[in-house]
Amino acid sequence: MSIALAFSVVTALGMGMLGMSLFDLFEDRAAEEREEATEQLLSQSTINLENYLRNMRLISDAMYYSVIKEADMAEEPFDSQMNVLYEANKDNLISIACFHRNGRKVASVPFATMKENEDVTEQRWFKEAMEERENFHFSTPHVENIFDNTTFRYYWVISLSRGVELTENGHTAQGVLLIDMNYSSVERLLEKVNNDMTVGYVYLCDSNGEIIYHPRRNLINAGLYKENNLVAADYVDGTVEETFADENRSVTVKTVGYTGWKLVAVTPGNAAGVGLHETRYLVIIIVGIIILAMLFINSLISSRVTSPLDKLTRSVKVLDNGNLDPNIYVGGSTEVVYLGQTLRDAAEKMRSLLDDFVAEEKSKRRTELDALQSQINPHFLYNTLDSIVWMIEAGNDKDAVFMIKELASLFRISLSRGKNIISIEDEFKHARNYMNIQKVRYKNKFEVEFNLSPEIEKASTVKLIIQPLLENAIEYGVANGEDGEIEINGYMKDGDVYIDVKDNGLGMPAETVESLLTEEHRVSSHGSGVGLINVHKRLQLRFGEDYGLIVKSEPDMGTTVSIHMPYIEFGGDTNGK
Amino acid sequence: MGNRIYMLIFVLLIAAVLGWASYEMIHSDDEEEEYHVAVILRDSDSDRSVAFRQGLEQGARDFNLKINIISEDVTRSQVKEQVEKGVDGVIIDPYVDNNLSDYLTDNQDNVKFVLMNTDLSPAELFPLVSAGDERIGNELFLTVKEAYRNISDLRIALVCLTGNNTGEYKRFAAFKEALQTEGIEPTLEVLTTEDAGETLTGYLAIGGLDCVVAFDSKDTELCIDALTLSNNVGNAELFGEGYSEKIIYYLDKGTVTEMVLPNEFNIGYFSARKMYQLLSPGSADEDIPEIETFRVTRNNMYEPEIENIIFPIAQ
Repeated sequence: MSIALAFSVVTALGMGMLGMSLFDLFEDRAAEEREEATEQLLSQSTINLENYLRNMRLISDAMYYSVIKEADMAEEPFDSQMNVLYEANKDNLISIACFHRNGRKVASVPFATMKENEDVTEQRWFKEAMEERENFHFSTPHVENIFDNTTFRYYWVISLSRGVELTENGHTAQGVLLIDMNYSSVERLLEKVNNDMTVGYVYLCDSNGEIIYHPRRNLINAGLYKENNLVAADYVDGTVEETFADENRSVTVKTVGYTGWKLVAVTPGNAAGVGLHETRYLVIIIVGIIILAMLFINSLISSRVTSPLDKLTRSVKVLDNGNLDPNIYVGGSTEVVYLGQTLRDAAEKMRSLLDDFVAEEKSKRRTELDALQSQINPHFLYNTLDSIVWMIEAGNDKDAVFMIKELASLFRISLSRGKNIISIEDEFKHARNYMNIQKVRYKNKFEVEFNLSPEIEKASTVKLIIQPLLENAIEYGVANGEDGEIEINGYMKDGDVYIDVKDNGLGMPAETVESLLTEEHRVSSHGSGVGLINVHKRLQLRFGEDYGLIVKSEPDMGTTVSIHMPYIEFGGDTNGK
Repeated sequence: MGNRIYMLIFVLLIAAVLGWASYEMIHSDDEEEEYHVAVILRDSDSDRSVAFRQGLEQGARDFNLKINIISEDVTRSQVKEQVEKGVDGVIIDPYVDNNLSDYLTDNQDNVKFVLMNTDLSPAELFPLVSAGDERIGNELFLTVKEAYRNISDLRIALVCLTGNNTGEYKRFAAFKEALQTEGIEPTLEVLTTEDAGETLTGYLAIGGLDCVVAFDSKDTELCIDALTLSNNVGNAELFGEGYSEKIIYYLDKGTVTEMVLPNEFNIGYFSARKMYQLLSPGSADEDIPEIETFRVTRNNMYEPEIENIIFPIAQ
């Protein structure tokens, strides 16, 4: 469960981050597309506006070059031609008028009468046309205020003025041609643009930042809304980010050709998220569903992984509680199956090892017991004590004392304060004690020679391993004959310790030698014959299968039994090690 | 057990997020609630109402109101009819029906009311959007006083053609009170439509007046006609309140000396804003600002600030 929870939390975090990244990417892309769309809309609007203004200029050109320049005012008033031009374009025009440089009206349509005392030379459009005669001049929107319109109607216009040359009585005079464009034409055009804007709005200002059109112009005039038009007038074409009235917003600017007017699209900073609400929540839902699905899948996977492990853990706990024969679970994934099998094998090995250990311990104890039994062979003790009694009765006190000392020494080493491991030096001493006693008992029927290499004197050995060999050598080698010789040699060879017990007795046939150290021989033999097997087993139990006894014998050639064991320096308290 | 609880909490958390996101997604297309508002407006088609309507419509766009303008005199039956149609609110122009007060009070829990251009009871019970008739009356008086060096001998005619309980009459009363405070009695008071034009024309034809003051658009137009017909022998000057294209035309020609105009656009806009605030509980409750007034003369009428007020037809 904890694995599933951990996986799920990690999955949730990962999916959450992935979702956020994707949404951010999507939002950025949407913002870019919105920006591109705004720029395209603005470009198209600029083209439309430029076309409209170009038409106005064309009307002005037509009026100037086709009518005014061709006519002499004194001879041929051009009101009628002006009226034709007006009628052809009156959807977009409020009036056309031409003025002499002194402000006198030369011609005008459709209004014929000017307001009383109206001095057009004070009008801004007139002054600009007179000052820069080569250029067209577009005014900002204003109410037409020079004609007397008895219908009480007042029109918002944008004035297009230019300097013209008038001909009167053959003389050239300067004048101003005024075309008042209907502001509502521009307004309609830009209203349409604003209707096409999904977010934000578009306004138009002149190069000084004075607003020509704004969808919230009335609110601006009433002081209820503010616009950053004065700053926007200095923006170059393109998109800039600005903060105005505590609001971050994106401003796209496009300059209208010839007039220097700027079409400005304002998009609120949060516009990128507008229209993406559904997408945002859809992403959250998808991520949430995926997380739930992953939670379910994680639980399944986790269950499949942890369930076998749980079963295996329970098996291990049973094993841990001492039951060496648990029903260890083997199942689940390949790895867990392998683990189960390994654990099952290990348990079986443990059980086998324990069985072996128990059997070995039993064997060791039996051989130790055998050794002890051989050590305290009652016949040997009886015979020895009987010999001592005999010596005392015969007045051979000296020999009796010697025997008693030897016997005491023999038992002291046999006991060795309960140690199983003694030095080879002590083992040889024990063997000498034994042989000294036996020589007395056997009335010196044989000779004994001990040769112990000093380099192995301090080596460790299992105790009482020479005595059974000597007993056998006496029993089967030299007891029944004359001139018996027993030679005991202790030496080191190839790093190992060897102790040879060699007799010159009758020897044995090869088949006897081969079966001498087998368990079958133990069953069929009695008495000291068992001693060899015990020594051999004790050596192998203590030092391993590579060590033990080596028997070499031939009939009539005597027998040599070699003890082979590793060199381990005797430490004095290595009992049992 | 602990992990199971954490897992359960985790699942519940995800489920809660899913529920919230689903709800938001389903309702993301929901538009802000639209409120239906009736505007009962006397002379809604008059020139004067153009700026007001523009302000109202701008407010309706900004605050998501669906406006229905009814051009009728404001009476109890008119308001009742709109309430019974199930509108959310009613914006009421100056009214003359005293029986309306009780009806508005009785129904204010069901329908929201915003009053305009009136100082009349029960204005203190309902939000009021107005330039203040008394203030305009006093402003007119100041205009006249500043136009003449000495007003003590001024022969002045006051024209107020509608009866009591109107904003126009309030303006008239305020002007007259200010005039009397200066120790001046009006030479002529034209208070009924009966023979009003003839009476005024007669005075003007003999040069019997120095100054004529009118207190709403119709009064001012009547005075213009009288001045025109009489040839204004005594060069009487006309001061007035109100707006129409005819008034502006004669202001432009010099027939009208000076006008005092309230910002009608703002009245319309703030009426809509106040109505939205009443209908939308979560919205900020902003105070209704004082509606400004402008003094308009022939000389300043084309200045951008004034031009935008008196020629609202651009948008």
